[in-house]
Amino acid sequence: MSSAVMSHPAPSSTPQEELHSEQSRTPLSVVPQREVRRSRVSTVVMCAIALAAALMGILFLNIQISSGQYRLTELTIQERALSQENEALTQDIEANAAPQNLAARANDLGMVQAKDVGTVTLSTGAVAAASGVAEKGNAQEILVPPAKMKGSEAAENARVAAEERAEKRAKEEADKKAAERKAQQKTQEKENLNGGSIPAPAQRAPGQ
Amino acid sequence: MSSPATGNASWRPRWTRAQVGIALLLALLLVVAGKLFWVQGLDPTGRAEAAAESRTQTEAIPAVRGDIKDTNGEVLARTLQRYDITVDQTAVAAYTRVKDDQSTEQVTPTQAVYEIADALSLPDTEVKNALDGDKTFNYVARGVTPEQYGKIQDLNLPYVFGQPTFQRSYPNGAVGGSIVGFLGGDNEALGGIEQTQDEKLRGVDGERRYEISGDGVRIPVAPQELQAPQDGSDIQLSMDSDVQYFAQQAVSERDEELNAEWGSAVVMDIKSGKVLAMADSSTVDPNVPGEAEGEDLGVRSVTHAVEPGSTQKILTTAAVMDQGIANPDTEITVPPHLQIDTEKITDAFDHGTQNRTVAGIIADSMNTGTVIMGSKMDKQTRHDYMANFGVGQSTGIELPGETSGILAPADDWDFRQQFTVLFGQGVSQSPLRTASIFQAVANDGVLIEPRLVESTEDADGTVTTPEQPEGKRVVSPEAAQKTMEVMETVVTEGGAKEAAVPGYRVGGKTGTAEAPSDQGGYDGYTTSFVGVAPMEDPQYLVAVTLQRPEGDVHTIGVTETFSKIMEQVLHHYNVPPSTTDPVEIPKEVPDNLDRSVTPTNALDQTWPSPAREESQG
Repeated sequence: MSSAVMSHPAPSSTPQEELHSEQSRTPLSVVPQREVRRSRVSTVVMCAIALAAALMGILFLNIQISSGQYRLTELTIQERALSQENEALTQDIEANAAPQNLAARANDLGMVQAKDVGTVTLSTGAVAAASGVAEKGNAQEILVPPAKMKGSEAAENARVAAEERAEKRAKEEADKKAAERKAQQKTQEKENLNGGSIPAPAQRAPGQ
Repeated sequence: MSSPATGNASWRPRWTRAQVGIALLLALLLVVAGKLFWVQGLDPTGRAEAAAESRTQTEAIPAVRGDIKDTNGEVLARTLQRYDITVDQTAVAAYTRVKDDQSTEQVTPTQAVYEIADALSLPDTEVKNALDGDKTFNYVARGVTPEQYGKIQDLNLPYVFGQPTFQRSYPNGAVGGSIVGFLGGDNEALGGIEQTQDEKLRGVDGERRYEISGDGVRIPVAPQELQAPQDGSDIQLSMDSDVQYFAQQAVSERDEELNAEWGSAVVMDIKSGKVLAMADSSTVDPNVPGEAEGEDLGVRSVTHAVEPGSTQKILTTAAVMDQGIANPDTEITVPPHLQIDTEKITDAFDHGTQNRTVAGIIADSMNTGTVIMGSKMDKQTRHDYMANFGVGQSTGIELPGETSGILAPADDWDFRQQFTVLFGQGVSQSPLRTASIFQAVANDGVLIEPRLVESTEDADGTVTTPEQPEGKRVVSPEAAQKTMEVMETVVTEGGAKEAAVPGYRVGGKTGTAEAPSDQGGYDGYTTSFVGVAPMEDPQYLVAVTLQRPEGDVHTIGVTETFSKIMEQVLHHYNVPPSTTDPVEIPKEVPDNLDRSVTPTNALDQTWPSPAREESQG
């Protein structure tokens, strides 16, 4: 500002002289209008706010990204857990659907093999009935063992059931044999043992 | 400014205390910057690299092995996610665990042993043994479920690791076990389809690299590399689990009844040569291959060569028909036995001199009659027909350890062998080959080598069908049709009436051969029956073989087992019952008996050529 005043073109006589000659006159000078200045304070505040906003924005974005990442991880874990659960359940279904296990359970329910099937001849509409109804026989012994699949409860159950069936069968057979032996014993007991424990020659009556 | 000190020491720079301080700080900064540049920029000791290395975690992503499915899409082999739990024994030490609530606790190795044992349901001693030692890598448990692995992760032990791996699971177990195959301890394919299709099933492993922070949590913004694994392809087989189970059950029942060494059955689709079932009386459960007998690891219909016996008479018949030597109703006089130089050829039953039709000869499985008509072909022709039908060659089915059987060159046959090969002795082949001979006859004389793999589905869903073997004409359609008529006579009038299936026209041939002993010579028999149905449009083939059944030779047949399986197969595939009547060819025409035929001159007899007969009539 002061330089602007200094560089101002001087009047013909020096101001000092005028000052000294005309004491009463109020010195006048053209003062350039002061620039309309924005407040220094408001600029700083604006900058600070902008900076803060940017920082906040970045922070916010970072938080978003991080939390997004954490959520992603969480969901991935959840997805994995669910697919693993799904896998375990599928394993159980497949264990139950295995042919030997189905056959064994059909047996348990008392189902038997059909003799043959009836047919309908489409061209003539003739119906040929099955030759006869299926007969109830002894439960079929399933000779194909259930799968020893690891990590499936259903497979485990099928295995246990098969063992129980085998045990039951063995027991029935043993019972049958025991009954047979008993019947045999009975017929033997019917023989007169003449007081002994083994068959012995009959005593002769004296005088015979 | 004008202090006295500056005056008397003019050589000294006239620096203020502040300047000295700044200079010092600058120097320090330079040192720090230099060090920083040294460490960060030049990094001669690889520190940054080591830091990155310690942050970087490399995790293998194993490719998921493809599934094996049956023809209906039922899964026969599936891959499940499992983990191998490993330990760095050198790092086992007391460890301060930070709990969720930020409190800490000291975990001694002993306590860790108990915790691991609980999580894995293992005995404490086993875990202790796994942790004790100075190995940097040792397995604690292999193939634990994801649930168990989760428990291990929660323990947060710094020296215990989990490696993702997979476990093969076979829901059907022993149903088709030897076909599906199995993996060894290191997931190495050791049997069946698993082995032959390993390349397609296996896929390519991937890898993931990411950075973790000090507390083991993954750094979210750090760079990560992912090399995606290429999962293996799924393989779909032509095998049908239901048929497979039924065949296995039926063969096992007969095997148990007769206390045989083993029994096997092949079920085939005649038109395509696809194998629907290959049953063994005892077979491996691929879930636990270690528990199986070595014998049970393969498919016997493929790995075992047996003398086919009388089933081979169908091959001879087809050749005779193809050569125009005879028709099913051509009459041939058959003496009680044949005496060719020193060799005597007899039948399984006693009979006088009979005037038989060709159908009658095969129906009662007469070796004598078969030799009379078969020997009208020279040795080389006999050999060529057999070779053409694939005898002495493997079928190329997608199973390991296939036997090609033995067919010696015609020139190497000894004097007796040139006749016995006509009824299936002195030659050996797999039961599958025997089945494929019947497939050719039933398929109008076109042989299609049997196959198991129906299609392959890549991980991206692309389905590829393997190139199917081309059909090969082995006999003319007429010859095949005539042979079929002979086969039907076997069931309607011959020795295999139990092979009949109610409602359907069935044809086939029994076989009884002596089984060669390991000690040389023969012990026991190999009995078999191969049949096709329905005769008017043959669709399915069942071949049953039983090795060394115990009992009288007339009661150890497998015709009933054949009938059981065939009935089930026809019903299973909804084949409409036959509406036409079976062909009727008399077995014998006693009126035309040529009494001049004796055991020594029987081979010389002639009969009107069927070709001329046709042109005349």
